[in-house]
Amino acid sequence: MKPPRWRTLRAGVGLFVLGLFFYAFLGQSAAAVSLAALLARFQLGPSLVRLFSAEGASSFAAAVVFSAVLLLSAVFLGRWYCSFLCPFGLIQDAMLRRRRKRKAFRYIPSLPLLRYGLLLLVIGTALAGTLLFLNLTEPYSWWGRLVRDLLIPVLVLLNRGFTALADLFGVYIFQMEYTIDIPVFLVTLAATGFLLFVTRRYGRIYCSVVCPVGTLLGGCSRVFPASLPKAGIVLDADACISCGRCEGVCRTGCIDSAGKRVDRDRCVLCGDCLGICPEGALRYGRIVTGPKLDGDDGRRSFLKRFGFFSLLTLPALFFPPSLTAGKRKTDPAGGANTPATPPGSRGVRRFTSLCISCHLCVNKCPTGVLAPSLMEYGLRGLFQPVMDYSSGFCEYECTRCGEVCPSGAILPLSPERKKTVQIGRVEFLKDRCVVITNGTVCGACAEVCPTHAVGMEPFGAGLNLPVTDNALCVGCGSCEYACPVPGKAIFVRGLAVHAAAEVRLPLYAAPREVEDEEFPF
Amino acid sequence: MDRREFLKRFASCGVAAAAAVTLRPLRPLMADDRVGPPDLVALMGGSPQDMFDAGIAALGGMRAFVRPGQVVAVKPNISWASAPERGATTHPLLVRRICEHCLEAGARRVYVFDNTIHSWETCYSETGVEAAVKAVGASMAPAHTAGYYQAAAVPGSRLLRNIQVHELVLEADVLINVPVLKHHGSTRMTGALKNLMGVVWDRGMYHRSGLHRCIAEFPLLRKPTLNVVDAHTVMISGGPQGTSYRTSLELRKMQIISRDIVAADAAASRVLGLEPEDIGHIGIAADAGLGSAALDSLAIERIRL
Repeated sequence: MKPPRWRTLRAGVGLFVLGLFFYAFLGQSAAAVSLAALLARFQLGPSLVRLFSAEGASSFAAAVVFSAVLLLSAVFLGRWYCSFLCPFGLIQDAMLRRRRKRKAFRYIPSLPLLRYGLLLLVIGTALAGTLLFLNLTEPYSWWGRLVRDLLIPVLVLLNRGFTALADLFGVYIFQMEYTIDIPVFLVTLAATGFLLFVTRRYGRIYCSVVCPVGTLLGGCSRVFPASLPKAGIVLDADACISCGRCEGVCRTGCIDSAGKRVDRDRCVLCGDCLGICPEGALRYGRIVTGPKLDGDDGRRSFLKRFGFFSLLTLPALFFPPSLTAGKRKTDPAGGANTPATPPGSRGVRRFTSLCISCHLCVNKCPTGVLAPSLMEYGLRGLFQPVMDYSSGFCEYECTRCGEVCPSGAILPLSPERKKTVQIGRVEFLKDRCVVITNGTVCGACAEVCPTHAVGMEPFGAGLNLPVTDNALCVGCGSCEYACPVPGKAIFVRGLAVHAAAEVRLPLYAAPREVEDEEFPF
Repeated sequence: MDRREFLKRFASCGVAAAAAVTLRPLRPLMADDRVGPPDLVALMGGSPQDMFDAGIAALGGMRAFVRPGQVVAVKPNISWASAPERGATTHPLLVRRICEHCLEAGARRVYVFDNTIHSWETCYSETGVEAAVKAVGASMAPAHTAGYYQAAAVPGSRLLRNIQVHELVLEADVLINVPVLKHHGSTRMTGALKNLMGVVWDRGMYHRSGLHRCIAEFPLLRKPTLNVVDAHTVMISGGPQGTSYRTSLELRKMQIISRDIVAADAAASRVLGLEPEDIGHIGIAADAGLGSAALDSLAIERIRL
């Protein structure tokens, strides 16, 4: 393949894939939701986490096959994933557009200690049940947060302006709904701003130095013997004159012009270097001898280090579990409240140890009840979604979060199954209720309760008072959301481990035919 | 000056002349000195759409309510993401037929909307109303963000001094109120008066300040031009959402149509086996002069299909 053609192919496919990601993650149509769920499943980070989700044999097998395909393909083809499938890599490629007149890139030292140390820290802490480090470094989860916490708010602002303008001309355009979470917005804005700056200045340095998925794929491209047929960018050291042109365009900083070497474990196959060499020393083809890292004697040393760093991550296993015990900001009863996790997540501990914080569920939740947490789960659960009943409630028939979750943190539930899951229990604070304090009719809570866990019973003087039945409660938070009392007279206490809710029958009984002889008036 | 008003003034220059030609003052339909249409039409035994055809004919046809070029707002109860046969929402075929009649009468635009309780997109689609309405060339209007609501003070109301009301209620030439009749856990019944709770932004305020009185006083701001109570599939208990084991439905195949919102609800309460006096907001609305709850003194036309 001729060099420019490779670049065009890579840029074209990358643009197309990024376009799909934008459509899927920004759109709210059913097609966009399904596509987002599909694309997210084809991400390596969530696929690896899903191996531990105990979701079921078929799902496990799918995750195994997909992870294996990606990792094995990296053995033979290198980090193609980073230029074709990773939305966070693709968005950095987009950031690098029209950069011609800027300073040339420079070789970034391989830094194996830092990179593999970070990877092992991420893996070790993840195995120990703490995804904090994974969530702070994993590219797909950054992409998800970038869209939901930064791009969508900006889009909503534009949409508001647009609808207001259309309204002037008497045309109705449907406004987008959005609950902005300021801290998460600011963090994402700062992180994205920083990323934009370093990317423009140094290239895809995040991919080259930080990204654990990239390091893992790069590692795969190195651990197997050089006798295997491996393809990649080949630098012919005999032809190379160390002019530095390729190094200057290399967006991951993986070409060492002086050392006449391409670090295969960081090359994302962007193809920028192909065709730029005046001596024709660079081409895409079979790699005959394994390339070396800085001061590295190859695979054996690599494996040795891997073992050594594994020991370093041992302390992560003792990451204090007490950090999971978060406290909700607005507990109406004034006590500590366990945050409620979405149905299908089975409980706080399981959820926080599997959720990669990509915010896809938050993005696609139709009611806005799923919101990014800050410290509700403690530091280790930073940004992981929480059921926020001040911004919405969980609809009885909706199962969308489980459908889109790529890491298995929220398992998919059928609507029938979901009705049997109790994620929290209702608590009624009688003394605050409008019926008691004002002596007027209310029942906003019972009206919205889908299961009759909150009902109304006669309370004298033509009034009814809410009565709760926790056998029926699913913890959806409808009552808490609807309660008109400032500070809430009814609320949901989250369950650390989800329980069973009774579905009392009949549910949706058919209407009884009544033959009225005469009008009743 | 709010944005809608701005639009109005802006556009009024252009359309004023045309409007002056096409719009004539509403003909007095309720003149005492002649045999006019009935106060209330009650129907039984047909499909929602057939009953409406017969009922609106008995009231002189939709042309008695909608003039050519007018904007019509139709307010069904589509608050729940619930299939039509579950009786929690107004039947889509009824809404559709009402829209058809309005368009046939020459309405310029027909908007259908509700400030839903479940997420608006699922409500609009699951109830079947969106598809039904769009099929006949009417539009679904948004009501899911505060931006579509304007501040209003309800004249003569104690509690509704400052509420946010959907702009279509304030601006449409014709307002057609199309509730579904149901049992309600706190107000005992939800019908025509209660349905208008879905045109205000902050429901919680109603609950905080006195639910019955707020519901009853809202029409002091604007009385619907026409009220069509869908009592085809009636949720007789376990309302208003109808997802609990206490929910029971009855196929009553009835419909009540009236200009008088209080009369419509008074008649509807009997369908649920209650008396108008049992429902707090019916009495308050009658006392406020919004209509008559005295069923015996109303001219009721009863039609069996």
